[in-house]
Amino acid sequence: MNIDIVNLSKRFGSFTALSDVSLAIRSGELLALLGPSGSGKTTLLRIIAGLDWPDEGEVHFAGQNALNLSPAKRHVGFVFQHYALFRHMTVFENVAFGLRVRPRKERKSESDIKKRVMDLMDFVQIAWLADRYPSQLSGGQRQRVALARALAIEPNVLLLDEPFGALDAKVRKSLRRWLRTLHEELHVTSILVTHDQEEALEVANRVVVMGKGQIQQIGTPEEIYDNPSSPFVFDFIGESIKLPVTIDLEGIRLGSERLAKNGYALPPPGPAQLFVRPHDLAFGDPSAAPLQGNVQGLRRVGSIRYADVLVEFGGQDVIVEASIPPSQNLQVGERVGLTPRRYRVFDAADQAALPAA
Amino acid sequence: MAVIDAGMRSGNLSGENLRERRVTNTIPERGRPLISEPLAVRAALIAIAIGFISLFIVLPLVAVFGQAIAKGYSAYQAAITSSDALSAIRLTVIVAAISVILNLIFGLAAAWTITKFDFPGKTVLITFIDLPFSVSPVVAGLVFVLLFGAQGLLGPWLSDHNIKILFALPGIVLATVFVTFPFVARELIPLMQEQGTAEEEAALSLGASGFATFFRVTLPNIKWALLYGVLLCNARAMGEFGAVSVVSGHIRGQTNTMPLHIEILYNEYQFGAAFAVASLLALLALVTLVLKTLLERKLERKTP
Repeated sequence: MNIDIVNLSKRFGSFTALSDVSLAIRSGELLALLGPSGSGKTTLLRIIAGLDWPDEGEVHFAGQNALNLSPAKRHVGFVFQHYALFRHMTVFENVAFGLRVRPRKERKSESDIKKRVMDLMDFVQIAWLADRYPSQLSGGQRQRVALARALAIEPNVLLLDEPFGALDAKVRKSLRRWLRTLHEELHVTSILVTHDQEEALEVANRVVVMGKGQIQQIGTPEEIYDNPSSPFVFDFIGESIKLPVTIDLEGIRLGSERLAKNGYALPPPGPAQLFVRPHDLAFGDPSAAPLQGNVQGLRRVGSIRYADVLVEFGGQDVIVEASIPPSQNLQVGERVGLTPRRYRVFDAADQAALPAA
Repeated sequence: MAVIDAGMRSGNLSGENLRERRVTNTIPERGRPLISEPLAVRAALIAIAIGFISLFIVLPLVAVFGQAIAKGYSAYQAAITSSDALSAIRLTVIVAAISVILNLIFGLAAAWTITKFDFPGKTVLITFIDLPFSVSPVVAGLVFVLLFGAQGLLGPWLSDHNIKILFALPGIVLATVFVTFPFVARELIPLMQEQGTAEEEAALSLGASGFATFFRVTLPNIKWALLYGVLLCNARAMGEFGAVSVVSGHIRGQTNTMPLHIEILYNEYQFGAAFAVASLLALLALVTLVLKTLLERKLERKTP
């Protein structure tokens, strides 16, 4: 089902959770709303589900106005952040809840309900837990129960609020993959809210980056990662290095050096900020590179090695964390040259939009 | 002297050091607490506690039952089956039943409002719910006299319309409801605050109506706390003296509840009869205590 969000605004007291947000969600896609806490992503999800109401704007389900529908009438499957399982009911009764509370006319027979619940529990691999209570389950099992419960009502759209937030790293990884295959099987329109960029980039077909109550960028995971459209997105997604630069009529000046222009448009002349990924810095001959510095330390984070390079330009010392290509050998104290291969330059004034990291 | 002193002190010191080392270096035995008082201190503390409880709780209870049957079983039976006693028991049960039902509804509504919604003036409402705990019951009774008495605010209007509140069942119920009204709400609010609204939201999004959400999700989650509140509310409603005494008028066989009836018997030097009826109230207290303990066990367990 297509969902259209039109000019949505929501304030809580003096805090603006959403300001003029518009978004078209296509039927069958798995969309991630990604952003830091306070960016309005959960509020947007709750408004779609009917658990919150916007101050302004509209929500359309398949072209129909959904705002005057009660949550019960929206047929939305909501997986809550802490699952919100019914603690006094067994797993079976939790999954069956949505089928049992239907009006008498639409309700299935007891044997049909039983069959449907058993099928669903098989589908999410929790059939053996049918008689347990939520307090007797692990985090990953609760997650599956919450999902089965939401799927039981054959929802038009599945909403997941930080679905993996409360799980440990290993379980999170396997559940992520599982959610993806599940979505490929069911093809139910799904919206996932997360602050974890890895999660969003791995699971979703499309990612919406949110910040300060507004949509910052919409795109495929590749577009978001490779072509961040604003300092906010560049800063929020992946690792990034910020360097103060100056734009003049001839191009980019990095300290006393010039930097070759790339395809992107440059901001107007004046102070600006250059963003580059640690792995987009090439090591090379100090005399031929725009940045030179001494290697201060070497670190290993997982499979990636980093070098802290003390770069001095314009009388300022900046420590640059560059990732070292596997073929390169570096020593502490060595003088190296660094050349940004892929980078973006944004107006320094845009910095105001950056959250305090 | 000085030498001996120093030697003793150093001896003490090393002794202390030894003890310290033993405490810090050995793993404590299973079941033995790390911090432990000497046996004599423990025995003294336990003896004080037991002595205190015996003197102030067990002895009076024994005395009540002892006095009640001091004149034999037939006298006991006669005292609690006299027409005045029976009418007092009947009135007490009726008043408690009405008050408990009213406060059950009120307590649920108040706890639901306070925990599931945000609105200005919430803390003021919580303070008002606690008011009966801090006001003397006699004052509470007097308030109703001021409101509904012959010289009271609504008195003339009520007598014009032939409605009797004071010195009748409605007055007694009103006073009892006022005194017992925090019990249910107080018991529910912390629990419902802790449980939050997530389960209710889940139920709504799964298609449940507000009614179904309340009966299938909210009520089962709070049922033991609710019972606990009702139990305390009932015990207080049956035992209330001060507020009821002011509004009842002490009409024998009509507006006397059990506590009032006991007082009258006592003032008339009918000690045997007074204690016989009192033993019924004491029995209620014991039953309440047992049920309360059972409920507390239920409440502590997280799974139903």
